Amino acid sequence: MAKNPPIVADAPRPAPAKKMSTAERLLWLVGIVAFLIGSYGLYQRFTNGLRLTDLGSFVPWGLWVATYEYFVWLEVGSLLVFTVLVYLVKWNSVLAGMARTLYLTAIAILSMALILIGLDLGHPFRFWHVFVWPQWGSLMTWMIWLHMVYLIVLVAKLALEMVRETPTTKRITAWLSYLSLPLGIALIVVAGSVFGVVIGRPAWQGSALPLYFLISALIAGTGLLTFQFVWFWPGERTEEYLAVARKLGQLLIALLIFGLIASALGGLVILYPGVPAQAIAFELTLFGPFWWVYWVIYVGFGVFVPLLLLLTRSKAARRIGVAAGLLILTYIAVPLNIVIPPQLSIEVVEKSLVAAYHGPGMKTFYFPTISEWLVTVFAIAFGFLVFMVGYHILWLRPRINHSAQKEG
Amino acid sequence: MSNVLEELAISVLAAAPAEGDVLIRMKAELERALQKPEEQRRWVMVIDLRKCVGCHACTVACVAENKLPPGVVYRQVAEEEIGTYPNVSMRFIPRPCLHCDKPPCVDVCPVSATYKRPDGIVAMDYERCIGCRYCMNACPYASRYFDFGFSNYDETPEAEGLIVGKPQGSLSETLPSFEYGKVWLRKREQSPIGNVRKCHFCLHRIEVGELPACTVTCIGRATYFGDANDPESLVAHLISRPNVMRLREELGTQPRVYYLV
Repeated sequence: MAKNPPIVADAPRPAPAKKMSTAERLLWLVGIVAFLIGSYGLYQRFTNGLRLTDLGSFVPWGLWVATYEYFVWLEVGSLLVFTVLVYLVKWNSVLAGMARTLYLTAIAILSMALILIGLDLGHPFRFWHVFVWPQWGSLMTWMIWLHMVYLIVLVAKLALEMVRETPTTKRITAWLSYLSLPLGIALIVVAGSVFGVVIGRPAWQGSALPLYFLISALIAGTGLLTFQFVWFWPGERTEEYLAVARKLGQLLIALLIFGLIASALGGLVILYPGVPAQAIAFELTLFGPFWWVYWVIYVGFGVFVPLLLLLTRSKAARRIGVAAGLLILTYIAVPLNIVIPPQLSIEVVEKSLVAAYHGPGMKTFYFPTISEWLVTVFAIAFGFLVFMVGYHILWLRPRINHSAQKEG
Repeated sequence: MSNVLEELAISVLAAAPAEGDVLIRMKAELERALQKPEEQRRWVMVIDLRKCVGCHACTVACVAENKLPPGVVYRQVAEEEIGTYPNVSMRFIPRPCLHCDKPPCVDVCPVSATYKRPDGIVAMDYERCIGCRYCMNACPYASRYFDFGFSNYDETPEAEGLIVGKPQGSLSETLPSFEYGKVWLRKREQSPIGNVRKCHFCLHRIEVGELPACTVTCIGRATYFGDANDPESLVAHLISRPNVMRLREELGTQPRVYYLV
């Protein structure tokens, strides 16, 4: 087995400042304002149930489910890539210093994911039923349980990062990291399989989605890891720092291209025979009223612009950081297109059925309501504030590997 | 045209022989089936598409029986127009839950809130259901509906003294539903609000010896219900005919709702 990464030291914590920096103050302000605005959505959710959403009986999953999937990709994907690079291939010891901040970010994102999926339930306060009456034949049960185990491992890893580093804590952290690899892969694949096993939605069914979830998690996760490394690295911008940033950028290029090919192949294989039950979902994605989500947000700002930035010959790591940031912001288009259009195909498949009866919640169209956006803002603001508390108050910042810095 | 009517009349007479209305016969068979242990019954529904005239009486009866709120329906009647003018015909297909013997909705439920009873009815446990709506996506027949808690009087003005005003009109929504043999009152965010709902073959009626509401209200006697394990039952005879089909048989879900075509 490969050796553990070297012990790294804390970044020096400055003496408590009397005043926060303007940037920090602005970030707190943005977080708190977003939290307050989003709280109104939360109030609406609890006073009106799901009535203020655009969800219905024909399109029962929407923005919150798609965002949940995306947050799982980010959270698990970033740690998967980090663990492989640091613990398995021993890629670079400088990167190991990012552990604390990355674990903190993963916990913040996980809190966003759990808030959204919890509020998506018709009865959010019955979430514990899954633990008391689990039905092990359901992949959703596995997904929820795996997510809980993953949360425990993550919290344990962060707790170990917060105590003084000893050979024992290092060894436990390493083993927990090894454990998180199969756990993380299982979580992502099971999350994809939740969709893949559904025969009610032909565009979801099959083994492609679980694999595509894994690829997407690696892309989104590498984006997050790269973004954090470029912008949060507290040490000097040495050659070694630049080398790591560039290598992460190269990894991102490869994954982005691979993801685009996988997406195109998946679409073409279904579009070629053109069986309406499956093809309609892809046709809607590519040419429907929200074509711009795929072409502009995903292909344009999520793949091509980041690729242009990454492929430009420049020594500045900033470009890599911007490309990664853009990717994180825009990649949400992918789960949105996976979750929503396949449900809209019911209008074609069951045309006479959906026309047979009318009432609220019996639409075959979906666009998130203001209430849904507000709840999403609340969840994101909550996670952001969790991160701010950890980063600025608990000082969960990257650790600098002094030896690596000197070597650099 | 007259030939079609003649054929229809013959088929009605065939289904309703000397003993009178098929409802009387089916009720007697239902009572006979209830004498057997639950696991020995095999409830099935047979719908004769040739007799369905698309009156939607079954839909209305079901809504009334189960006090269904807006946006929830257990038995809609799909209408299909076949052909082009002047060769056009209409086909009506009642679509209750098909109570599959291999139900995809049951396997995906993370808390076993939807389950297959020994007598074959796919039932819901409202108090266990968390409202994740996974079963709705899993059902290949779109037979499940989510109760968002809408009211028929959401947009009605608060007019005093008028029967159509909210205070008086909405009294009808305070009547309980008796699904699954329990009393369900519509209270804010309490089950069945926030749950997935579906046809249950009027289980609460069956258990007291009554036929499902859709069956007794069908004006053309196009809907039959009974125990297919009883070789003498009407439904057993009907499903042994060669003109029987089930929806999307290629999926292997083995629905318990048969159509006569």
